[in-house]
Amino acid sequence: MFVDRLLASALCGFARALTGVRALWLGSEPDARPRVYFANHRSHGDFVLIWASLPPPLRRRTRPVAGADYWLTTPLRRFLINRVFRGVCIDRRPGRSGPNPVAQMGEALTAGESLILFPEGTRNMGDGLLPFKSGLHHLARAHPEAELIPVWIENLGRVMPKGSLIPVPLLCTLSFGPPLAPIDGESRDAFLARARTALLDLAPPAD
Amino acid sequence: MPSLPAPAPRSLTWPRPPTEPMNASHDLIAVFGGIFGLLAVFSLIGAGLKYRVARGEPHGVIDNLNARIKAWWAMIALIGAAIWIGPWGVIALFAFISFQCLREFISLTHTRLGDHRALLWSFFVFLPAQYWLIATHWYGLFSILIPVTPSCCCPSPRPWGPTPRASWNGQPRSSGG
Repeated sequence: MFVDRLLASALCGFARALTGVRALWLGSEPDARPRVYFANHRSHGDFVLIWASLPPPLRRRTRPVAGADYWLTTPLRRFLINRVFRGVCIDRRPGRSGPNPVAQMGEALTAGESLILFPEGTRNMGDGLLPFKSGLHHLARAHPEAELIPVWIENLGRVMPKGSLIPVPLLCTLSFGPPLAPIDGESRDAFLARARTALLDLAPPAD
Repeated sequence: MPSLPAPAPRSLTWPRPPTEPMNASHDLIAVFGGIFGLLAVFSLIGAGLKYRVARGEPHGVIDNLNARIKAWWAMIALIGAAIWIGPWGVIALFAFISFQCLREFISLTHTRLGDHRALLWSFFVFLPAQYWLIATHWYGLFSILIPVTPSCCCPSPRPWGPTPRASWNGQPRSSGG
């Protein structure tokens, strides 16, 4: 337990030193209530960086949602995701038979914890955003008490892109946007489009 | 007309210790004493303005001035410490400043996925190598290292070693180099 927490702090410290991460709270503040932070996904470091920008007391109560098909395949990955990051591992294959991912994520929210979710469903290799998966919509409908906070992660995809092992020490910025307004009978596609726009609004203008 | 001193013989033996270690001479003490004295006066004025004009409340202009004075303290202290350590200290300080500048410059520049390996070489090999060559007085190699070596190798899609597998998926390959 102690080793896990020490490792988690060490990883956060390393991520902060490497990226000099700056958190901009634009329309929301750090808060202990259950939240779903949804962010663009380009690198494994993404949730470490969101973690590192939260105040330490909130860090232990914020859990990343991770793909079981990737994170549960080797002993090291299993140790990291289960013990160090305390991730919620979901099965993202189409023909799954295990527990319902939305129910798994909901358990954490019911327990008063927050989630870090990447609604694109995978690491994005290009710029911009991929279309969102529907999990965010199901989660928002099942847990209206949880706040949905968009988080735009700038530059981390260049620090450590998919497939590379050594990071380049570029400076990263995280923009935390205002909470997304509740659904209120909105259709799935309309809601996902609204969430996607809210996230894109935080991105710096393209050059 | 006084004759110029003969240039020191150039040699390529390395690593050679830096010549003429700097001592904290009277001049340096006078310069830094003067700067620190001025900074102390500035800090006092800043604190006075904060107390008398802003009355301890947040004040845009005065807070900005005080933040700048604090930054000057930090900069002068760093340079002072580097000079006190000697040539290696100054070289290390400037290597660190170069690293930070390159970091900030590349952060603002548009780079592609395929540039990742070239960036790694720039940050972790060529930048430290430049300063190591300065420290060991290997001027011949220093003057041609950046113009010749990285500019030949880094723009290539495969600069020394396999490119990350990911950069071949869905990313247009650069046509050049």
